Amino acid sequence: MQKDFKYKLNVLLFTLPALLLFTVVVCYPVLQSLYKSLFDWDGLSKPVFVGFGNYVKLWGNDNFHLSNKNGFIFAAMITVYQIGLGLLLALVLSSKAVRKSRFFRTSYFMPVVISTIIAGQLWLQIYNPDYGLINKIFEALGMSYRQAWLSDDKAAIYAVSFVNAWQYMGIHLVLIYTAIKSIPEHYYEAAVIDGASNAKAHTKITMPLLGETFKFCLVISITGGLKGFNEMYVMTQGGPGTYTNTLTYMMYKQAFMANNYGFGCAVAAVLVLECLIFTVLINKFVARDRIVY
Amino acid sequence: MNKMLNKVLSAAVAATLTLSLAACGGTAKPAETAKDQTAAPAAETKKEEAKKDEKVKLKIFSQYSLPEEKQPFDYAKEQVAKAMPNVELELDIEPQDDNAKLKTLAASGDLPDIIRVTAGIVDLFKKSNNIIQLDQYVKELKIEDRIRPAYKGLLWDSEKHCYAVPRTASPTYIMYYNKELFEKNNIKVPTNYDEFLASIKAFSAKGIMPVSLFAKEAWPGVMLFDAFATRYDAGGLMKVVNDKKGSITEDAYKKAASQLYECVKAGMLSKAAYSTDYDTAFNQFTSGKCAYFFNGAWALGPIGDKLGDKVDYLDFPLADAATVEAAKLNRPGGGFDGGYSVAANSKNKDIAAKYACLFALETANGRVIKASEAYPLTVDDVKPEKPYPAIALKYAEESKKFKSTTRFPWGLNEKANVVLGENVAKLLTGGYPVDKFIADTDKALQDALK
Repeated sequence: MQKDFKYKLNVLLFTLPALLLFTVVVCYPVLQSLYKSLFDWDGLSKPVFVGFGNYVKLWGNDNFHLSNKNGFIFAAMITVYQIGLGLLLALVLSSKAVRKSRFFRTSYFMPVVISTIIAGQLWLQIYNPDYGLINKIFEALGMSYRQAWLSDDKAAIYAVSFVNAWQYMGIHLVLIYTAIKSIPEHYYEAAVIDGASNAKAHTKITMPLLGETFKFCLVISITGGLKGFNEMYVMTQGGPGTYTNTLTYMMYKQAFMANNYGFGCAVAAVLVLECLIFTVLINKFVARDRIVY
Repeated sequence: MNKMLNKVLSAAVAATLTLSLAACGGTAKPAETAKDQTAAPAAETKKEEAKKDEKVKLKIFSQYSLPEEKQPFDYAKEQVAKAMPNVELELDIEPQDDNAKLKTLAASGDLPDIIRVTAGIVDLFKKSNNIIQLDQYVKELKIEDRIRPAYKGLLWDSEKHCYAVPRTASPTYIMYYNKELFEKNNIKVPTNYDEFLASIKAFSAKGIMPVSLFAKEAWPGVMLFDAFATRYDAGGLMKVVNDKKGSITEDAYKKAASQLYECVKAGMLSKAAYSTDYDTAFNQFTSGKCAYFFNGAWALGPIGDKLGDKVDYLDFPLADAATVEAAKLNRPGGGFDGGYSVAANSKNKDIAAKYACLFALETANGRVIKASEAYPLTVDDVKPEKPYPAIALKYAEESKKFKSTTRFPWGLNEKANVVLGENVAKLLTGGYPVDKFIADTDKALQDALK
């Protein structure tokens, strides 16, 4: 009993500094934002309490709904691409048949270490409707199809999302690859003895055992998508108009450009809430039970 | 053992809280009453005079990226050093970030002593007492006497107080065109809207970009709309947004939106316009790749230097033939285009205020001398180092005849400016119907201007 208590105290002692730091740099600002969202405030002058007025205004704001929708598109795009392709590549690279897998892993991971500004500039050139690589490929193939990737009200958000999907796929690849490599080899040997094909072994052994990894990947890609900002800031400034706004970008515009800080905080509050809901849902429904063979 | 643990825990908690509170407490509050502080500079002046020989370090927040920003800045620094040799100036370069850094500095009470401000920032900082009134220094240093009569109004706000000393006169928006490109392609230089539309179609058909717009930023689009709107209502967007004397649902704005939309549909803009920045657009125009370029009068010097006789500007032939002549001297743009203010939390307010006043006027002179700005703010006898390009001389002469000017977007209400930037950009995609543009903008403006 005494030993157990001491252990708990030790845990508390070692986690307390980090917990306090987390409270100061995360919880406190979040609570402050929630509080400030109840005010009409330009960020500098005396705030005026408006209750839930900012939230009512937010609900009636078309840009809010568009930004929210864009956040979901962004999150869906990067989740499907990064986890889907990451898994596929991780399975291929973890196969014994693939040689030089380290070279490929490094190559796929390389975009992750590039700064978003450089990646954004690179893709601005690729997307350029006049001399960009994509339209030039269509031209070289003799196709008349051309797309103004970043100027089109419908295509722009997909084009911007793809840049994030491309850049950060490597993180998911490495996470999934590492998880696959941590699965004991004798599981597969036993499966082979039982006559399982390669595909069967993956569906029955690899996939269930990757549950925890998928959970983590889902959380970072969905919440990362919902709060997408960098690519918009570098490539489109949320435009044309508001067509590539996400909630984060809307919050930035309202707080820093329109001096509408209270309203910006309300946008931030909705964003935090959405991220929390998705995190809870993912934790509740994905990989609920730890599988141990 | 437990007691020991309790002690350790308590010490850890106390230390962490102290550290975090110290981190939060490092920010000084902006002065509570900036206006009061200007009323009592006399006492401070005495103290400061006693320290006359001491070196004073002032921090200035200003643009310093393009050559036309650097050269006038350096010139002004050199000139003011003659009058105030004890001041050492430390530059904090202003990023192009929609004033986010400046507002953050103000919120944390860390504003540099002297700051470059736009009209929108003056309003915001005035309201929150982040900048001081400069009336006394303006009078003491006879600043108004050094400003040309046409621009004296730029010194004062609507309540006849000065919070920022201008560092340039009132440049307006200009419709530049490449004469050579018109001649080579045998396209008529437009004199009214129909001819302008015809020229857009003609250039587009020849694969030449009609208008190079750096629409990566929101303001060029808003100004383009204002250029059309001022053909039918001299007040343009300023009338609706700042003067609150009308509505965007009025016929003038509807017509402006319809014509702008028609031009976009006719291929006025490059499909890459939304990812085009200023440098790219400027190079497209000056390298002869596009016919028209819309920008402020501050670009007269650089454009004139690059294109010489090949470039000229038009009197905005964007109205119907019947009204184009009457509206040709109604110019979009103008108004207060930036100046220097003094932070209320400056430790050397008196010196900073004097320095800011002198620095602003010397910057204006520097813009004439170094950047060939042909519309001097001051009455000082300053001449450009290089002869003015022909286009700049023409503007200097003709600008005296302008009947009305409006404001650039950074001089408009900031909430409304964001709304206009977003909605005009959508209109320029060609996929946002005019009626929806008018209805959405009206609704958003009403909300923003409440």
